[in-house]
Amino acid sequence: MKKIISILAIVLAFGTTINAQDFIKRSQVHGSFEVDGMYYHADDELGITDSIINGNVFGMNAFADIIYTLGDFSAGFRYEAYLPPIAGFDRSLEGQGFPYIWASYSTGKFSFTAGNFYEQFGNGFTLRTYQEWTLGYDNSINGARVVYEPTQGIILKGVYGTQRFFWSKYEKNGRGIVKGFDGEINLNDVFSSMSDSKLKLILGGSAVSKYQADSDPYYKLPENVAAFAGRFNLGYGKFNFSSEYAYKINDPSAVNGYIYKPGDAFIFSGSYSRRGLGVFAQFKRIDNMSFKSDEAVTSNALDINFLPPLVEAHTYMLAAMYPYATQPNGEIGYQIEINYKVPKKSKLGGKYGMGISINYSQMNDIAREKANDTAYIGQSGTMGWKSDFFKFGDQIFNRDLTVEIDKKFSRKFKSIFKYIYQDYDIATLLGHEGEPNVKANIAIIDMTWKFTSKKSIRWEVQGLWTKEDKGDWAAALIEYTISPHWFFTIADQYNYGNKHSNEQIHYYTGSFGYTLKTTRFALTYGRQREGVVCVGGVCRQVPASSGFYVTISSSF
Amino acid sequence: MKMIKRKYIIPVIVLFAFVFNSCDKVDPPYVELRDYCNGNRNVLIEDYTGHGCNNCPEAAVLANQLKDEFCKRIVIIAVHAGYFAEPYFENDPLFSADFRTEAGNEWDSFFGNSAMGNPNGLISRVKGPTGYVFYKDSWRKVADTLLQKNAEAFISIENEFNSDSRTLSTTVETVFEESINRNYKVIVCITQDGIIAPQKNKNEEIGETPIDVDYVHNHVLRGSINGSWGENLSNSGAVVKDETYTKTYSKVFPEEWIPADCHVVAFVYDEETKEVLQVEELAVME
Repeated sequence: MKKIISILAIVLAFGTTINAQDFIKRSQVHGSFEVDGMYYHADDELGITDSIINGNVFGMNAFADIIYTLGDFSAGFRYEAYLPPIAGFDRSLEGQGFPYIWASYSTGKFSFTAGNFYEQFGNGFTLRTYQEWTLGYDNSINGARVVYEPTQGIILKGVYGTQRFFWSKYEKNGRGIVKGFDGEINLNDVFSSMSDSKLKLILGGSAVSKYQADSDPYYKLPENVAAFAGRFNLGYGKFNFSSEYAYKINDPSAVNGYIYKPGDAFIFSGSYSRRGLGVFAQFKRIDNMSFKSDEAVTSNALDINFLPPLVEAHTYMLAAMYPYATQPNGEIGYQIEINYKVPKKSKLGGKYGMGISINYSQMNDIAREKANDTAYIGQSGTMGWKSDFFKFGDQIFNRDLTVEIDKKFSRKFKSIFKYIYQDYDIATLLGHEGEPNVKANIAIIDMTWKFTSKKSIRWEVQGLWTKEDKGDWAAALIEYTISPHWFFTIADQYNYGNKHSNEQIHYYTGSFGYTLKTTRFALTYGRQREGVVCVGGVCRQVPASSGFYVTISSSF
Repeated sequence: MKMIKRKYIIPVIVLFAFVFNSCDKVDPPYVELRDYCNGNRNVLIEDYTGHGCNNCPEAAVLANQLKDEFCKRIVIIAVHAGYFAEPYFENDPLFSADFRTEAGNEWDSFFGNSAMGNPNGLISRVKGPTGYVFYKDSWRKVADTLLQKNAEAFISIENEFNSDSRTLSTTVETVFEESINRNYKVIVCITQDGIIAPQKNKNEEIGETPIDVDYVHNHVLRGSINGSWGENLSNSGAVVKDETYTKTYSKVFPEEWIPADCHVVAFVYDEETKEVLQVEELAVME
């Protein structure tokens, strides 16, 4: 709160330098709010008894984000409350306060930020701080940032600070201090001879270091750990290529099991696009690249860097059952995607055309060998392992083939057909030790009938067939929308193929929502199946629950 | 263009060099051990566990390893509580055992262990940045810090076990190094080693996977013999230097408690902060 008062004082100080009318005219305040609440009740079929709920019948996650701007000056804060956090969110979030407070000033070529900020260097291999409400994730840096644009096409950034760790304050010899630098040059902007060139080239580089005192009684830990990365983005006509390579020095941590080998990460993307056709391919390799500002933390917190996932992000109920979580200790794989728009008025395309999209991705473990004869692979207090850069390990973490066809049949009727094949290492990714990979076939039909300009009905039918894990599932959903205000949805997921007859459960939900301009209210009643929610390869486990879920959000 | 290059390339190199300088490459050997045999404050590791938790055997191994590393100045209690400790876990008749206890359940509910996902533990019930609960990767570091501190209290235990009546009589004496104006309590509980029962396990080096049917459960909390939160040491809400606070309890052992495999664990804690000042254990039958 003291911080907010100081920021207000700065704002008022600015205010005195300009006349009051001008001050009000030029001031702008924006904000957004959200309250998510959950009421739980016992549900015998899900095995949720009153003693498990143990009186904790309510959960609430809420935030308010306020941003004030006055010319080149801006400041803001975010208030958050988790009283207590909704089931499936980290219990360490419990509490309320102002975890994000900042002030920023831009003058010509410079921009300064003090307080909390989010930043990303390149793909994030060396540094990315961000906030993801649905994960309860926030690794913002609290410190200072300077951005300098000496000339058009050159951006230099410097950051310094400590990261958010739930509600705990920074203490000396606690979590590490992060400092980083990033430089990017757009050659077409900088060199006039290249300004009209068909070849577009951007080069970038970053260096990030963390300092954390070594208080470990057992391991000799490096107090300064640095990571470096170089990247390029090259465009030529309809082709585009980009790549980044990052290297991190020895960083023994709880995540890598206290091994001392350096880490590296590599990504290469290529794409081709023309009217109606897009082709996109990516290759990625990660080896021992978890980078946190506290070596002892294993939970989803204090990540300095981000390792982007290479897999289709599924949103349909059953398709999202087996989501991929990035494996920071090692993964190698690729992704290919082709998007084709069958032209209108062709035989296949019909009157409105038809979209076809095919995505295939595969991610394996990296191939690991013993680092020396005396230590086993991954042994703590050793170099850990040796690994061939381009060699795929035998273990398949994830394979995903998605074929999607979207077709508009008439002005009122459109549909999406989807087929997905997944091969999913449930032992590694969900901790179901000893279980074989889940091989699942998934089919989805999604149809929308717009019977007036404001009223439409949408329904989904989905099936998931697998011999592994919980067996076969069927799901259906009907949604009636009266735009722009109302929606009503009924959905059910039915685990009819579960080998335990008492677990052949219907997960039904009913919801409705009302939207008025930027304010939205939605209420859901029903069952939430146990599962995993992932955003960008970062995941949290969600326990099964039963009850009411309400969400209210607004912005101005 | 050369002008631009010259002007900006130097600060860029300086900044990179600044970060590059911030690199500590560590040379082997990568581990070093302190001498822990000179201290006098013991540390309590409460390992919150359950037979349905496949990561838990690794935590149990670590707790024992720390006991060896730290010159036996660690006392372990395996608290079976929460979802993973439920009998007939996931409807599997193999997991019929119920190692849950009233005290364990109350502690689990208060400290929030099983809600955070097992395995995890309490280290002398000290509070860390995110609460009382520590995942196993932090145990060594937290315990090490406590082991460096001087003991503020000393505990001695004397046991007598009557095999005919299966009754334990235990006397716990506590002496403080300083007079302190705070309220301290003592909890006296029983743990048992060598209980063979199925346990989910994912580490082949520890035992059969995914279920080790002959898993040996050690340090299993059988219960507290003076209530889940123990008893006040003094009635005044303060303790006096060098005074001996004596508590005597008796307990009739149920059939499944094997006296030869059981220990009395006694620990003294600050009622307000819950921090454990000292802990001792002694076999029921010596």
